[in-house]
Amino acid sequence: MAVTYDTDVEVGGTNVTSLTVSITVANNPDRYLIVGVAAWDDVSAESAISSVTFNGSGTGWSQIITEVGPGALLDRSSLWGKANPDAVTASVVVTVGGTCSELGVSVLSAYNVNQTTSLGTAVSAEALSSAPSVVVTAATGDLVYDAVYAGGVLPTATVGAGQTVRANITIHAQNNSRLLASTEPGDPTVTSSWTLADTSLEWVQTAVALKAALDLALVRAAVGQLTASGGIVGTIYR
Amino acid sequence: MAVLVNHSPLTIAVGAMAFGPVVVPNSLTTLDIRLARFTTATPLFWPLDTTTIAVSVEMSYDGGQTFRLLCGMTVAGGLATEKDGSEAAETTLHFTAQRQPNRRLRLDMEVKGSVLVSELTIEAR
Repeated sequence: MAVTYDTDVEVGGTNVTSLTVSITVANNPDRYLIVGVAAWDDVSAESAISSVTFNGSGTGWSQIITEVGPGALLDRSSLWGKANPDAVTASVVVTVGGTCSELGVSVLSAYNVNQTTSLGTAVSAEALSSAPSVVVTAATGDLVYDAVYAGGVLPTATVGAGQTVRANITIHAQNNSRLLASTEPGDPTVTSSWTLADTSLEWVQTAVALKAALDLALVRAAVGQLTASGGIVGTIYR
Repeated sequence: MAVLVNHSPLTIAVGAMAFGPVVVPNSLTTLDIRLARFTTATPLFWPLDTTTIAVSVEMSYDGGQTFRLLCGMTVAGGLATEKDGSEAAETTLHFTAQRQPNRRLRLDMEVKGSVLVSELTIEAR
């Protein structure tokens, strides 16, 4: 079963200690919530994420990957995830360590995600350039999600080929900082990239593949064939 | 762009307060909520980092009969700095809302610590 997009929301703020955004998670099988955070503060601890909650609970959330840079700069991109979220309309709340100068949050709901091994190997990159790009190892049926903090001069952004924009919002108008997020269907290798307008830019990017759930119909068919040929005898329960 | 609320003075005692509802023009989908902060030029605004506010943004799509939460933020007062080192004059919340007629925006605000003095601006694009 291919990982399938359900819905997404995003919000940005300046000089905040937390951001809240409401999302409706539909009642689909094998649900997963992924949160992409883009942040900057001149004190790293103040942009560090202290908690992520959904529907009032922090249970089940895990930090997937965080990148801070480029170099000595303190731009931050971070991914957080939770398997099997409640199928409700509720708030995702991202709380940081202090008053964070720039904070953007993208939340994406997907389904048909493997509930045991939900994620592939997360990757990250950072640079002073106009071309955020990471290569993600994935497979057919997976869904690759990436999140970028981009700042600098006029960072309007264009998403790479094959990707669907999930967030492209201003975090801080004067500083021209943006939260970018996209998804792309899985393949053995997927390149998640953006093109930022102008030069004198800085960015940090994180990405990961949401792994597809097993197709139980295919598994049952394969086991049925094996059983018919005398290979194995047994019953599959879900 | 439309300025729906322009530097409206706010004085909020400790506790909860609702602001609005404000009519949001149908054609505009990107909204900014801005609260004025303490700077050396505006010393009366929100000087204490122990004064906090939780803002919940609610939108109505039926002319104000029912509202649902869109997003929100929590913020502490005191001096904050921008990326270029200058004093931050505002806290902002930036979000989008689906285009639909009969929209109304309402803010629920809860202040803790001490009375909050600021200015509120709401813009839509």
